[in-house]
Amino acid sequence: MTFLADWAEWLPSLLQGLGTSLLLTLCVAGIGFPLGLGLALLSIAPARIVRILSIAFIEIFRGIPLLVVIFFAYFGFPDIELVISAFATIVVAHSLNLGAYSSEVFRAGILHVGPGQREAARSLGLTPWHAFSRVVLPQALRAVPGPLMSFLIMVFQSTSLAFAIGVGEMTSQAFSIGSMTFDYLSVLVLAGIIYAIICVVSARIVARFEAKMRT
Amino acid sequence: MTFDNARILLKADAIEKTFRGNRVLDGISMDVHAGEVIALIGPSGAGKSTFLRCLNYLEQPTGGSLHLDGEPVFADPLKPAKSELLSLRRRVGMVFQTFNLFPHLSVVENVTMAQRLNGLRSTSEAEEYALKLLAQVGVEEKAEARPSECSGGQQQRIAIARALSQDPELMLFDEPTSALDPEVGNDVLRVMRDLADAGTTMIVVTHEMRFAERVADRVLLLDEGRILEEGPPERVFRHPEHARTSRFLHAVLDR
Amino acid sequence: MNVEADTGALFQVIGTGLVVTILMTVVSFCAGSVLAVPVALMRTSRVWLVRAPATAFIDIVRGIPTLVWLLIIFYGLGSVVSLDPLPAALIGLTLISSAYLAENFRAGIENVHVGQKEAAAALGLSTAHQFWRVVAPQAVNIAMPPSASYAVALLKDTAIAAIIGVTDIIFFAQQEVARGAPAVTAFLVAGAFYLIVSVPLSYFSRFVDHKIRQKVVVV
Ligand SMILES: Nc1ncnc2c1ncn2[C@@H]1O[C@H](COP(=O)(O)OP(=O)(O)OP(=O)(O)O)[C@@H](O)[C@H]1O
Ligand SMILES: [Mg+2]
Repeated sequence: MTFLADWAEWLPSLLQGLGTSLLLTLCVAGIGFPLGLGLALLSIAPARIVRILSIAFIEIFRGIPLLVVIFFAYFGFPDIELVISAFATIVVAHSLNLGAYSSEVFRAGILHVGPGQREAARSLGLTPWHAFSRVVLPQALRAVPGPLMSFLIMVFQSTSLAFAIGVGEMTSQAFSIGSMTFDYLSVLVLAGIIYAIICVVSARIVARFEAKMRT
Repeated sequence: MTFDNARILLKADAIEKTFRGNRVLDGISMDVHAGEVIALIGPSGAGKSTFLRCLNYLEQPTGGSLHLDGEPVFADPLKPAKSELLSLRRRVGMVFQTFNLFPHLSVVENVTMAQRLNGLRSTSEAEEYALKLLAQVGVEEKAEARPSECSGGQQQRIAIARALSQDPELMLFDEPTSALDPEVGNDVLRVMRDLADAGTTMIVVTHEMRFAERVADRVLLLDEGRILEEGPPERVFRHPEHARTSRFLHAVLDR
Repeated sequence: MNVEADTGALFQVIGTGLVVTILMTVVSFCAGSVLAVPVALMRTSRVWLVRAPATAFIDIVRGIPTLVWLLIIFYGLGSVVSLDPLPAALIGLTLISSAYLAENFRAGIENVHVGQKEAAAALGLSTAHQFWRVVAPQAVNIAMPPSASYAVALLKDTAIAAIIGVTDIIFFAQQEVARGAPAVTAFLVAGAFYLIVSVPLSYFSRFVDHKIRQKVVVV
């Protein structure tokens, strides 16, 4: 059982990395979800050009791997004299990605409300903006928490890509321990277990939550 | 027609069914004579579907036994052997309220599949027989179509042809027309009436009192898991023994 | 040299990685589909002892990020049996896609209307025939649209293999940047290559979804 002793020794640095992973997740969610809502609104905007541009933006970011976006930002930004930290790079790249993905959920929520509600609100003399923001939007947002929580789990998993540009989150921590001890397997498995526990437990919570929402 | 001397095809003896402590069938016994048409009526939740499904063991009864042609169907009714189950289901055909045609197969494949898989007929014989059955129920022109391309009434008639393809000795119908518009339902009822006239033994769960009155040889009224009233249609409908029966009949006929 | 010639050269070099990207996607999707069948069958078993290992497999495989899997296989197992980057990536991606596809298949099986199995049983079909001739074909139909969109996700996931040194689109883009090509252009070109595959693929998956919706009865 010598590996248990190793694991106990490594755990603090991994947990420190986990802290960074979670912080990244929070930052990405904090920017990505509002961006997703904004994109959803633009993608159903009255102006055709706005719709086309926002849908193109969404399709592009859904069509290319997150890693390409990360590398583009990390290696490309300095070329255009834009210097930000690796952490900020991940947050920017990842938020764009999350914004594109989550916009579909917001849009489905909005479209699900149906024209009757808007018409009813307008017939009460509400302005189009009030009809939307006070009647349609609140109903649309009621359906989204479940899918958004699932996105959060996916975001948490893909923060591991920060490893590629050397942000010290959990995967990077595990890898650097591995490169010092030459025991990659053991430390990576430990990191994997931590990821799996967090993801499986949160997925269960989300499933519970969604079941409750349905009843 | 009377069936007093006719052969008893199916004998259900004290059939019980309990769902998690909820007693749905309270010991139902019934003899079905060869060639007889029985209409099973009763209020919603009486246990009609459950009883019908116990007759081909889609639902396994928690008590009681079945005999086909005088022979017990199962050596141990509570532990049905696979072969006993298959043989029961091949001898008893069933038509469902919601048709349940196989959507991934063409109409004619729906009717040939079980014949082939059960080794009843060769592929070409099965096909020939299927087309004959489809003609009999009046949907031969749909043979190559998908079920989704057929109307509800056509689908139910195809489902009847599919059940008949096993040459069943007994046909079970669970509210075959209640998912259909009345006019379309009549096409289905006409097919069923033809079957009855041709001597098919049938048990029909139905809310179509006119059909029950005209076609059935015997009406069974099920209530709370028991047979409340039983007899020829004119007796049950005109002179019911129980007040509950007349209340039920009034409620149905008022609709 | 002018910029256009540079971009043309970039397209050529980075394009050589496209084959590897597509190879990884196709191989791991196909192998994953095959592996997913027994996992899905076990997952839908009524016997807990059969079901539990399948559930655990799916949860654990999906609970660990793709990158961590690839690092475990390439660097971790690599210290036991030596593996090249491509086989390591294929093993990892196949493992992951088998877990995701097994979930799709399970949902497919569970969403076939119960009446279908009952109708098959009522016709006296054996349990095996009920499943393989009636339930399974419809389950495949139901599982097809989500599996097609999973193929798109898998395509993008293969990018991660570049981190362990698989010579795919991203790998060549990185290599060109290291040799002094402008990073903005190189990664735009890389992105364009992914779009060339992923956009038609996702349109195809929507098309499949639309087609299948007309063909199956879902509860
Ligand atoms: N699988 C089951 N599990 C638990 N309870 C069941 C099940 N199937 C039927 N029941 C219960 O058994 C009772 C009888 O149901 P059944 O479907 O046989 O009634 P029915 O006479 O066919 O009614 P209806 O006219 O509405 O079709 C109902 O109370 C029902 O809730
Ligand atoms: Mg019923």
